[in-house]
Amino acid sequence: MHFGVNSGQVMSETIDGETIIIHLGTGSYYSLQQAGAAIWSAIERSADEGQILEELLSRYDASPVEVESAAKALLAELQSESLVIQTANGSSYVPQADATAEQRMAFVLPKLEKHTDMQDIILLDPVHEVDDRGWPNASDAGTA
Amino acid sequence: MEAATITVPVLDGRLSERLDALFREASDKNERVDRSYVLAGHRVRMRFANDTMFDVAGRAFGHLIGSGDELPELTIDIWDSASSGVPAPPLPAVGADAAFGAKFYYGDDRLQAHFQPASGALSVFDRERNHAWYWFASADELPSWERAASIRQILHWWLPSFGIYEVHGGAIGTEAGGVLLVGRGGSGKSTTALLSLGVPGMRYVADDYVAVSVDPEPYAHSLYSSGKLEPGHAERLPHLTEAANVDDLHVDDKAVFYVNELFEESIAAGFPLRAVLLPTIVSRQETRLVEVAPTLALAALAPSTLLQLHPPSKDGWAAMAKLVRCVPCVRIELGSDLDAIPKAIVAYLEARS
Repeated sequence: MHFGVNSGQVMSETIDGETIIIHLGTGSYYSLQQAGAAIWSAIERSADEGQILEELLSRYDASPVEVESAAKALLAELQSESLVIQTANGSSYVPQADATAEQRMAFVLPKLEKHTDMQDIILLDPVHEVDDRGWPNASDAGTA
Repeated sequence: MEAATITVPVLDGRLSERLDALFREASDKNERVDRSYVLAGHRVRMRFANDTMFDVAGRAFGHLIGSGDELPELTIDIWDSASSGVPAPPLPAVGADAAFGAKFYYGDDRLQAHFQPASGALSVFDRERNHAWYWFASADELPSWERAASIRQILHWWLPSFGIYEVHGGAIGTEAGGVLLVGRGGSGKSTTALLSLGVPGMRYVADDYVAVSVDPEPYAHSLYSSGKLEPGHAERLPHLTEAANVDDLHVDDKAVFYVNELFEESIAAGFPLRAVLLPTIVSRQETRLVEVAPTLALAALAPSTLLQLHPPSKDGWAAMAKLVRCVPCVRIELGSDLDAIPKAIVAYLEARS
Protein backbone atom coordinates (compact mmCIF):
# COMPACT_ATOMS: atom_id res chain seq x y z
CA MET A 1 0.00 0.00 0.00
CA HIS A 2 1.14 3.52 -0.72
CA PHE A 3 0.73 6.55 1.48
CA GLY A 4 -0.81 9.87 0.55
CA VAL A 5 -1.65 13.14 2.23
CA ASN A 6 -5.25 13.43 3.44
CA SER A 7 -5.57 16.35 1.07
CA GLY A 8 -9.26 16.94 1.67
CA GLN A 9 -8.54 18.01 5.24
CA VAL A 10 -4.83 18.81 5.29
CA MET A 11 -2.62 21.58 3.95
CA SER A 12 1.15 21.50 4.22
CA GLU A 13 4.21 23.45 3.21
CA THR A 14 7.92 22.72 3.50
CA ILE A 15 10.32 25.64 3.93
CA ASP A 16 14.05 25.20 4.49
CA GLY A 17 13.67 21.56 5.43
CA GLU A 18 10.83 22.07 7.92
CA THR A 19 7.27 21.04 7.14
CA ILE A 20 4.22 22.79 8.58
CA ILE A 21 0.98 20.82 8.43
CA ILE A 22 -2.52 21.95 9.37
CA HIS A 23 -5.55 19.71 9.80
CA LEU A 24 -8.55 21.83 8.87
CA GLY A 25 -11.02 19.51 10.55
CA THR A 26 -9.47 19.54 14.02
CA GLY A 27 -7.61 22.87 14.00
CA SER A 28 -4.40 21.16 15.08
CA TYR A 29 -1.20 22.09 13.33
CA TYR A 30 2.10 20.23 13.28
CA SER A 31 5.72 20.54 12.33
CA LEU A 32 8.25 18.01 11.07
CA GLN A 33 11.96 18.51 10.64
CA GLN A 34 14.84 16.66 8.98
CA ALA A 35 13.95 12.97 8.60
CA GLY A 36 10.33 13.73 9.45
CA ALA A 37 10.13 16.29 6.66
CA ALA A 38 11.81 13.81 4.33
CA ILE A 39 9.18 11.18 5.14
CA TRP A 40 6.43 13.72 4.50
CA SER A 41 7.98 14.61 1.15
CA ALA A 42 7.95 10.94 0.17
CA ILE A 43 4.31 10.64 1.26
CA GLU A 44 3.45 13.65 -0.92
CA ARG A 45 4.90 11.67 -3.84
CA SER A 46 2.73 8.62 -2.99
CA ALA A 47 5.60 6.45 -1.76
CA ASP A 48 5.04 3.08 -0.13
CA GLU A 49 6.87 2.06 3.01
CA GLY A 50 9.72 0.42 1.11
CA GLN A 51 10.26 3.51 -1.01
CA ILE A 52 10.22 5.72 2.08
CA LEU A 53 12.89 3.57 3.73
CA GLU A 54 14.99 3.57 0.57
CA GLU A 55 14.93 7.36 0.42
CA LEU A 56 15.81 7.68 4.11
CA LEU A 57 18.72 5.25 3.84
CA SER A 58 20.08 7.13 0.85
CA ARG A 59 19.87 10.42 2.71
CA TYR A 60 20.82 9.54 6.29
CA ASP A 61 23.69 7.66 7.83
CA ALA A 62 21.79 5.11 9.90
CA SER A 63 21.11 1.41 10.13
CA PRO A 64 18.13 -0.04 8.29
CA VAL A 65 16.69 -1.30 11.57
CA GLU A 66 16.84 2.14 13.18
CA VAL A 67 15.35 3.85 10.14
CA GLU A 68 12.59 1.29 9.69
CA SER A 69 11.52 1.49 13.32
CA ALA A 70 11.45 5.28 13.30
CA ALA A 71 9.63 5.50 9.98
CA LYS A 72 6.97 2.98 11.01
CA ALA A 73 6.36 4.87 14.24
CA LEU A 74 5.95 8.19 12.46
CA LEU A 75 3.73 6.73 9.75
CA ALA A 76 1.48 5.25 12.42
CA GLU A 77 1.29 8.58 14.19
CA LEU A 78 0.55 10.49 10.99
CA GLN A 79 -2.30 8.08 10.25
CA SER A 80 -3.69 8.28 13.78
CA GLU A 81 -3.76 12.07 13.45
CA SER A 82 -5.61 11.66 10.11
CA LEU A 83 -2.91 13.54 8.27
CA VAL A 84 -2.03 10.62 6.02
CA ILE A 85 -4.09 7.91 4.33
CA GLN A 86 -3.23 4.64 2.71
CA THR A 87 -3.95 4.31 -0.96
CA ALA A 88 -3.51 1.63 -3.59
CA ASN A 89 -2.34 4.20 -6.15
CA GLY A 90 1.42 4.59 -6.33
CA SER A 91 1.74 5.32 -10.01
CA SER A 92 2.66 8.94 -9.41
CA TYR A 93 5.63 8.15 -7.17
CA VAL A 94 8.80 9.91 -8.28
CA PRO A 95 11.89 9.04 -6.28
CA GLN A 96 14.24 11.75 -5.14
CA ALA A 97 17.87 11.61 -6.25
CA ASP A 98 20.08 9.32 -4.20
CA ALA A 99 22.72 10.93 -2.01
CA THR A 100 26.27 9.67 -2.05
CA ALA A 101 27.77 8.30 1.13
CA GLU A 102 29.68 11.56 1.68
CA GLN A 103 26.46 13.57 1.55
CA ARG A 104 24.48 11.47 3.99
CA MET A 105 23.49 13.29 7.14
CA ALA A 106 23.27 12.16 10.73
CA PHE A 107 19.90 10.55 11.49
CA VAL A 108 17.79 12.24 14.13
CA LEU A 109 14.64 10.44 15.24
CA PRO A 110 11.71 12.12 13.50
CA LYS A 111 9.27 13.82 15.86
CA LEU A 112 5.80 15.10 15.03
CA GLU A 113 5.28 18.32 17.01
CA LYS A 114 1.61 19.00 17.55
CA HIS A 115 -0.03 22.31 18.46
CA THR A 116 -3.63 22.46 19.60
CA ASP A 117 -4.02 26.13 20.53
CA MET A 118 -6.30 26.72 17.52
CA GLN A 119 -8.65 23.84 18.33
CA ASP A 120 -11.03 26.19 20.12
CA ILE A 121 -11.93 27.77 16.80
CA ILE A 122 -13.29 24.44 15.63
CA LEU A 123 -14.87 23.44 18.92
CA LEU A 124 -16.57 26.76 19.66
CA ASP A 125 -17.31 27.78 16.06
CA PRO A 126 -17.86 24.54 14.14
CA VAL A 127 -18.78 24.88 10.49
CA HIS A 128 -21.76 22.96 9.15
CA GLU A 129 -21.42 22.50 5.41
CA VAL A 130 -24.80 22.30 3.78
CA ASP A 131 -25.37 20.14 0.74
CA ASP A 132 -27.45 21.12 -2.25
CA ARG A 133 -30.61 19.55 -0.86
CA GLY A 134 -30.80 22.11 1.88
CA TRP A 135 -30.29 25.79 2.69
CA PRO A 136 -30.10 28.16 1.00
CA ASN A 137 -31.50 26.88 -2.28
CA ALA A 138 -34.94 25.63 -3.15
CA SER A 139 -35.49 22.05 -2.12
CA ASP A 140 -37.89 19.87 -4.11
CA ALA A 141 -38.27 17.72 -1.03
CA GLY A 142 -39.03 20.76 1.08
CA THR A 143 -37.58 19.49 4.31
CA ALA A 144 -34.67 17.35 5.41
CA MET B 1 -16.44 19.74 9.67
CA GLU B 2 -19.91 18.28 9.78
CA ALA B 3 -22.12 18.11 6.75
CA ALA B 4 -25.67 18.96 7.65
CA THR B 5 -28.89 19.00 5.71
CA ILE B 6 -30.94 21.83 7.03
CA THR B 7 -34.68 22.28 6.95
CA VAL B 8 -35.62 25.26 4.83
CA PRO B 9 -38.78 26.77 3.45
CA VAL B 10 -39.25 25.95 -0.20
CA LEU B 11 -38.34 28.93 -2.31
CA ASP B 12 -39.95 29.75 -5.59
CA GLY B 13 -36.76 31.23 -6.98
CA ARG B 14 -33.06 31.35 -6.51
CA LEU B 15 -31.67 32.89 -3.37
CA SER B 16 -30.13 35.84 -5.24
CA GLU B 17 -33.51 36.95 -6.57
CA ARG B 18 -35.07 36.53 -3.12
CA LEU B 19 -32.38 38.70 -1.55
CA ASP B 20 -32.77 41.29 -4.30
CA ALA B 21 -36.47 41.51 -3.49
CA LEU B 22 -35.87 41.84 0.26
CA PHE B 23 -33.28 44.56 -0.18
CA ARG B 24 -35.51 46.37 -2.66
CA GLU B 25 -38.28 46.32 -0.07
CA ALA B 26 -35.86 47.56 2.63
CA SER B 27 -34.70 50.39 0.35
CA ASP B 28 -38.25 51.39 -0.56
CA LYS B 29 -39.21 51.63 3.10
CA ASN B 30 -36.12 53.66 4.06
CA GLU B 31 -33.69 56.22 2.66
CA ARG B 32 -30.95 54.23 0.98
CA VAL B 33 -27.33 55.38 1.34
CA ASP B 34 -24.96 54.45 -1.50
CA ARG B 35 -21.20 54.71 -1.19
CA SER B 36 -18.34 53.84 -3.53
CA TYR B 37 -15.07 52.50 -2.19
CA VAL B 38 -11.77 51.20 -3.49
CA LEU B 39 -10.83 48.06 -1.58
CA ALA B 40 -7.40 46.60 -2.37
CA GLY B 41 -7.42 48.52 -5.64
CA HIS B 42 -10.87 47.35 -6.74
CA ARG B 43 -14.12 49.26 -6.97
CA VAL B 44 -16.88 48.28 -4.58
CA ARG B 45 -20.32 49.87 -4.33
CA MET B 46 -22.03 49.40 -0.98
CA ARG B 47 -25.74 50.13 -0.75
CA PHE B 48 -26.94 50.62 2.81
CA ALA B 49 -30.70 50.39 3.37
CA ASN B 50 -30.58 53.35 5.76
CA ASP B 51 -28.33 55.54 7.90
CA THR B 52 -28.29 52.97 10.67
CA MET B 53 -26.80 50.39 8.34
CA PHE B 54 -24.16 52.84 7.20
CA ASP B 55 -23.29 53.63 10.81
CA VAL B 56 -22.96 49.96 11.70
CA ALA B 57 -21.25 48.58 8.59
CA GLY B 58 -19.98 51.50 6.53
CA ARG B 59 -17.86 53.64 8.84
CA ALA B 60 -15.01 51.12 8.80
CA PHE B 61 -14.44 51.90 5.12
CA GLY B 62 -14.34 55.69 5.50
CA HIS B 63 -10.65 55.80 4.55
CA LEU B 64 -11.26 54.01 1.24
CA ILE B 65 -13.80 56.29 -0.42
CA GLY B 66 -13.86 55.99 -4.23
CA SER B 67 -15.08 58.43 -6.82
CA GLY B 68 -17.91 56.21 -8.03
CA ASP B 69 -17.25 57.46 -11.58
CA GLU B 70 -16.79 53.96 -12.94
CA LEU B 71 -18.99 50.91 -12.67
CA PRO B 72 -18.29 48.89 -9.56
CA GLU B 73 -16.58 45.52 -9.73
CA LEU B 74 -18.67 44.34 -6.78
CA THR B 75 -21.97 45.59 -5.35
CA ILE B 76 -22.93 44.76 -1.78
CA ASP B 77 -26.42 45.34 -0.37
CA ILE B 78 -26.57 45.78 3.40
CA TRP B 79 -29.68 45.80 5.57
CA ASP B 80 -31.22 44.47 8.74
CA SER B 81 -34.74 43.50 9.66
CA ALA B 82 -35.17 45.53 12.85
CA SER B 83 -34.59 49.00 11.38
CA SER B 84 -35.67 48.34 7.80
CA GLY B 85 -38.91 46.60 8.68
CA VAL B 86 -38.54 43.72 6.22
CA PRO B 87 -38.65 40.04 7.12
CA ALA B 88 -35.54 37.92 7.44
CA PRO B 89 -34.17 36.08 4.41
CA PRO B 90 -34.19 32.25 4.32
CA LEU B 91 -31.95 31.02 7.12
CA PRO B 92 -30.91 27.54 8.20
CA ALA B 93 -32.82 26.05 11.11
CA VAL B 94 -30.49 25.93 14.09
CA GLY B 95 -30.87 23.03 16.49
CA ALA B 96 -30.99 23.65 20.23
CA ASP B 97 -27.77 21.66 20.63
CA ALA B 98 -25.81 23.72 18.13
CA ALA B 99 -22.55 25.17 19.44
CA PHE B 100 -22.73 28.87 20.31
CA GLY B 101 -20.42 29.89 17.49
CA ALA B 102 -21.70 27.38 14.92
CA LYS B 103 -21.52 28.52 11.33
CA PHE B 104 -23.52 27.32 8.33
CA TYR B 105 -21.90 27.40 4.92
CA TYR B 106 -23.11 26.66 1.40
CA GLY B 107 -20.97 26.84 -1.71
CA ASP B 108 -21.35 25.95 -5.39
CA ASP B 109 -19.87 27.27 -8.63
CA ARG B 110 -22.00 30.38 -8.49
CA LEU B 111 -23.20 31.00 -4.97
CA GLN B 112 -21.59 31.11 -1.53
CA ALA B 113 -23.51 31.70 1.68
CA HIS B 114 -22.48 31.87 5.32
CA PHE B 115 -24.63 32.33 8.42
CA GLN B 116 -23.53 32.46 12.04
CA PRO B 117 -26.44 32.56 14.52
CA ALA B 118 -24.20 34.01 17.26
CA SER B 119 -23.63 37.14 15.22
CA GLY B 120 -26.91 36.91 13.37
CA ALA B 121 -25.10 37.88 10.19
CA LEU B 122 -25.81 36.36 6.78
CA SER B 123 -23.30 36.82 3.96
CA VAL B 124 -24.09 35.77 0.40
CA PHE B 125 -21.99 36.18 -2.78
CA ASP B 126 -23.18 35.54 -6.33
CA ARG B 127 -20.00 35.39 -8.42
CA GLU B 128 -21.89 35.27 -11.69
CA ARG B 129 -23.38 38.69 -10.99
CA ASN B 130 -20.53 40.09 -8.84
CA HIS B 131 -23.20 40.94 -6.30
CA ALA B 132 -23.31 40.25 -2.60
CA TRP B 133 -25.68 40.70 0.30
CA TYR B 134 -25.00 41.24 3.98
CA TRP B 135 -27.98 40.99 6.32
CA PHE B 136 -28.37 40.80 10.06
CA ALA B 137 -31.37 40.73 12.36
CA SER B 138 -30.71 43.93 14.30
CA ALA B 139 -27.96 46.52 14.49
CA ASP B 140 -28.28 46.59 18.28
CA GLU B 141 -27.54 42.88 18.48
CA LEU B 142 -24.60 42.85 16.06
CA PRO B 143 -21.54 41.96 18.14
CA SER B 144 -18.35 44.01 18.07
CA TRP B 145 -16.43 41.46 16.04
CA GLU B 146 -18.97 41.80 13.20
CA ARG B 147 -19.07 45.60 13.37
CA ALA B 148 -15.30 45.81 13.26
CA ALA B 149 -14.96 43.51 10.26
CA SER B 150 -18.31 43.18 8.50
CA ILE B 151 -18.47 41.56 5.04
CA ARG B 152 -15.20 39.75 5.77
CA GLN B 153 -16.64 36.51 4.44
CA ILE B 154 -17.72 38.23 1.22
CA LEU B 155 -14.27 39.74 0.73
CA HIS B 156 -12.70 36.33 1.49
CA TRP B 157 -14.71 34.87 -1.41
CA TRP B 158 -14.29 37.78 -3.86
CA LEU B 159 -10.70 39.05 -3.49
CA PRO B 160 -8.84 35.83 -4.48
CA SER B 161 -9.92 36.30 -8.10
CA PHE B 162 -7.40 39.17 -8.08
CA GLY B 163 -4.66 37.25 -6.28
CA ILE B 164 -5.46 39.06 -3.03
CA TYR B 165 -6.16 37.18 0.18
CA GLU B 166 -7.74 38.25 3.43
CA VAL B 167 -5.62 37.14 6.38
CA HIS B 168 -5.89 37.35 10.15
CA GLY B 169 -3.30 39.88 11.16
CA GLY B 170 -2.52 43.51 11.87
CA ALA B 171 -0.40 45.81 9.73
CA ILE B 172 1.48 48.94 10.78
CA GLY B 173 4.48 50.79 9.46
CA THR B 174 5.39 53.97 7.64
CA GLU B 175 4.50 55.32 4.22
CA ALA B 176 7.53 53.49 2.80
CA GLY B 177 6.47 50.10 4.08
CA GLY B 178 5.27 48.13 7.03
CA VAL B 179 5.01 44.86 8.85
CA LEU B 180 2.35 42.20 9.14
CA LEU B 181 1.62 41.40 12.79
CA VAL B 182 0.63 37.78 13.33
CA GLY B 183 -0.15 35.65 16.35
CA ARG B 184 -2.91 34.31 18.48
CA GLY B 185 -5.01 36.29 20.89
CA GLY B 186 -3.03 37.56 23.85
CA SER B 187 0.24 37.74 21.95
CA GLY B 188 0.22 41.54 21.92
CA LYS B 189 -0.68 41.83 18.25
CA SER B 190 -3.58 44.25 18.70
CA THR B 191 -1.82 46.32 21.35
CA THR B 192 1.20 46.67 19.06
CA ALA B 193 -1.03 47.82 16.21
CA LEU B 194 -2.83 50.35 18.39
CA LEU B 195 0.43 51.73 19.78
CA SER B 196 1.17 53.11 16.33
CA LEU B 197 -1.80 55.46 16.43
CA GLY B 198 -0.85 59.10 16.73
CA VAL B 199 2.88 58.39 16.44
CA PRO B 200 4.29 60.86 13.90
CA GLY B 201 5.26 59.14 10.66
CA MET B 202 3.57 55.84 11.49
CA ARG B 203 0.77 54.36 9.44
CA TYR B 204 -2.00 51.98 10.52
CA VAL B 205 -3.43 49.63 7.92
CA ALA B 206 -5.11 46.97 10.03
CA ASP B 207 -5.76 45.61 13.47
CA ASP B 208 -7.34 42.21 12.90
CA TYR B 209 -8.01 41.48 9.21
CA VAL B 210 -5.99 42.71 6.25
CA ALA B 211 -5.77 41.84 2.57
CA VAL B 212 -2.38 40.63 1.36
CA SER B 213 -0.99 40.11 -2.12
CA VAL B 214 2.46 38.70 -2.89
CA ASP B 215 2.83 39.47 -6.58
CA PRO B 216 4.59 41.50 -7.87
CA GLU B 217 5.74 42.30 -4.32
CA PRO B 218 4.29 41.64 -0.87
CA TYR B 219 1.69 44.27 -0.11
CA ALA B 220 -0.84 44.92 2.66
CA HIS B 221 -4.16 46.42 1.60
CA SER B 222 -6.32 48.01 4.26
CA LEU B 223 -9.89 46.77 4.47
CA TYR B 224 -11.17 48.13 7.79
CA SER B 225 -10.21 51.25 9.67
CA SER B 226 -11.70 49.79 12.81
CA GLY B 227 -9.85 48.96 15.97
CA LYS B 228 -11.12 47.26 19.05
CA LEU B 229 -10.52 48.46 22.58
CA GLU B 230 -10.32 45.71 25.14
CA PRO B 231 -10.69 46.31 28.87
CA GLY B 232 -6.92 46.13 29.42
CA HIS B 233 -6.24 48.82 26.85
CA ALA B 234 -7.52 51.64 29.04
CA GLU B 235 -4.45 51.45 31.23
CA ARG B 236 -1.93 50.64 28.50
CA LEU B 237 -3.27 53.03 25.85
CA PRO B 238 -4.67 56.08 27.65
CA HIS B 239 -4.24 58.29 24.55
CA LEU B 240 -6.57 55.98 22.74
CA THR B 241 -9.28 55.76 25.36
CA GLU B 242 -9.17 59.54 25.70
CA ALA B 243 -9.59 60.05 21.97
CA ALA B 244 -12.30 57.44 21.71
CA ASN B 245 -15.18 58.55 23.86
CA VAL B 246 -16.17 55.15 25.14
CA ASP B 247 -19.72 56.29 25.75
CA ASP B 248 -20.11 56.77 22.00
CA LEU B 249 -18.81 53.36 21.13
CA HIS B 250 -20.66 50.12 20.69
CA VAL B 251 -19.51 48.01 23.58
CA ASP B 252 -20.00 44.40 24.41
CA ASP B 253 -16.72 42.98 25.59
CA LYS B 254 -14.82 45.25 23.22
CA ALA B 255 -15.42 48.80 22.06
CA VAL B 256 -15.16 49.45 18.32
CA PHE B 257 -13.72 52.73 17.05
CA TYR B 258 -12.61 53.95 13.63
CA VAL B 259 -9.03 55.08 13.13
CA ASN B 260 -9.89 57.30 10.16
CA GLU B 261 -12.23 59.29 12.44
CA LEU B 262 -9.97 59.62 15.48
CA PHE B 263 -6.44 59.51 14.05
CA GLU B 264 -6.89 60.64 10.46
CA GLU B 265 -3.16 61.20 9.98
CA SER B 266 -2.37 57.62 10.98
CA ILE B 267 -4.60 55.62 8.62
CA ALA B 268 -3.25 54.34 5.30
CA ALA B 269 -4.82 52.43 2.42
CA GLY B 270 -1.84 50.12 2.27
CA PHE B 271 1.91 49.74 2.00
CA PRO B 272 4.56 47.29 0.82
CA LEU B 273 5.22 44.56 3.37
CA ARG B 274 8.81 44.44 4.59
CA ALA B 275 8.58 41.82 7.32
CA VAL B 276 6.27 39.53 9.25
CA LEU B 277 6.38 40.21 12.97
CA LEU B 278 5.40 37.75 15.68
CA PRO B 279 4.71 39.68 18.89
CA THR B 280 5.39 38.05 22.22
CA ILE B 281 5.22 39.69 25.61
CA VAL B 282 8.37 39.46 27.74
CA SER B 283 9.04 40.42 31.32
CA ARG B 284 11.65 43.13 30.83
CA GLN B 285 11.59 46.77 29.84
CA GLU B 286 13.42 46.59 26.53
CA THR B 287 11.85 45.57 23.20
CA ARG B 288 13.97 43.45 20.89
CA LEU B 289 13.56 42.05 17.39
CA VAL B 290 14.97 38.61 16.64
CA GLU B 291 14.80 36.88 13.27
CA VAL B 292 13.05 33.51 13.29
CA ALA B 293 12.41 30.70 10.85
CA PRO B 294 9.70 31.34 8.25
CA THR B 295 7.87 28.24 9.41
CA LEU B 296 7.26 29.88 12.80
CA ALA B 297 5.67 32.85 11.06
CA LEU B 298 3.55 30.59 8.87
CA ALA B 299 2.37 28.69 11.94
CA ALA B 300 1.44 32.00 13.60
CA LEU B 301 -0.37 33.36 10.55
CA ALA B 302 -2.01 30.53 8.66
CA PRO B 303 -4.03 28.41 11.09
CA SER B 304 -6.16 31.26 12.45
CA THR B 305 -6.69 32.62 8.93
CA LEU B 306 -7.64 29.26 7.43
CA LEU B 307 -9.93 28.33 10.31
CA GLN B 308 -11.75 31.66 10.70
CA LEU B 309 -12.59 32.41 7.07
CA HIS B 310 -14.60 29.70 5.36
CA PRO B 311 -13.86 27.74 3.27
CA PRO B 312 -10.14 27.48 3.90
CA SER B 313 -8.33 28.75 0.82
CA LYS B 314 -5.57 26.62 -0.70
CA ASP B 315 -4.46 29.60 -2.78
CA GLY B 316 -4.46 31.74 0.35
CA TRP B 317 -2.28 29.16 2.09
CA ALA B 318 0.12 29.20 -0.86
CA ALA B 319 0.24 33.00 -0.75
CA MET B 320 0.99 33.02 2.98
CA ALA B 321 3.75 30.46 2.44
CA LYS B 322 5.21 32.62 -0.34
CA LEU B 323 5.02 35.70 1.87
CA VAL B 324 7.06 34.20 4.72
CA ARG B 325 9.65 33.12 2.16
CA CYS B 326 9.83 36.62 0.61
CA VAL B 327 10.32 38.79 3.67
CA PRO B 328 12.16 38.44 6.98
CA CYS B 329 10.20 36.85 9.80
CA VAL B 330 10.91 38.40 13.15
CA ARG B 331 9.86 37.81 16.70
CA ILE B 332 9.27 41.14 18.40
CA GLU B 333 9.78 40.71 22.11
CA LEU B 334 7.53 43.37 23.60
CA GLY B 335 9.02 45.03 26.65
CA SER B 336 7.16 46.97 29.29
CA ASP B 337 8.29 50.34 27.91
CA LEU B 338 5.33 50.66 25.53
CA ASP B 339 6.52 53.92 23.94
CA ALA B 340 9.62 52.10 22.73
CA ILE B 341 7.66 49.49 20.79
CA PRO B 342 6.60 51.61 17.78
CA LYS B 343 10.04 53.22 17.78
CA ALA B 344 11.67 49.80 17.56
CA ILE B 345 9.48 48.86 14.61
CA VAL B 346 10.22 52.12 12.77
CA ALA B 347 13.95 51.70 13.44
CA TYR B 348 13.81 48.17 12.05
CA LEU B 349 12.02 49.33 8.92
CA GLU B 350 14.40 52.24 8.40
CA ALA B 351 17.41 49.96 8.77
CA ARG B 352 16.02 47.73 6.02
CA SER B 353 15.02 50.50 3.61
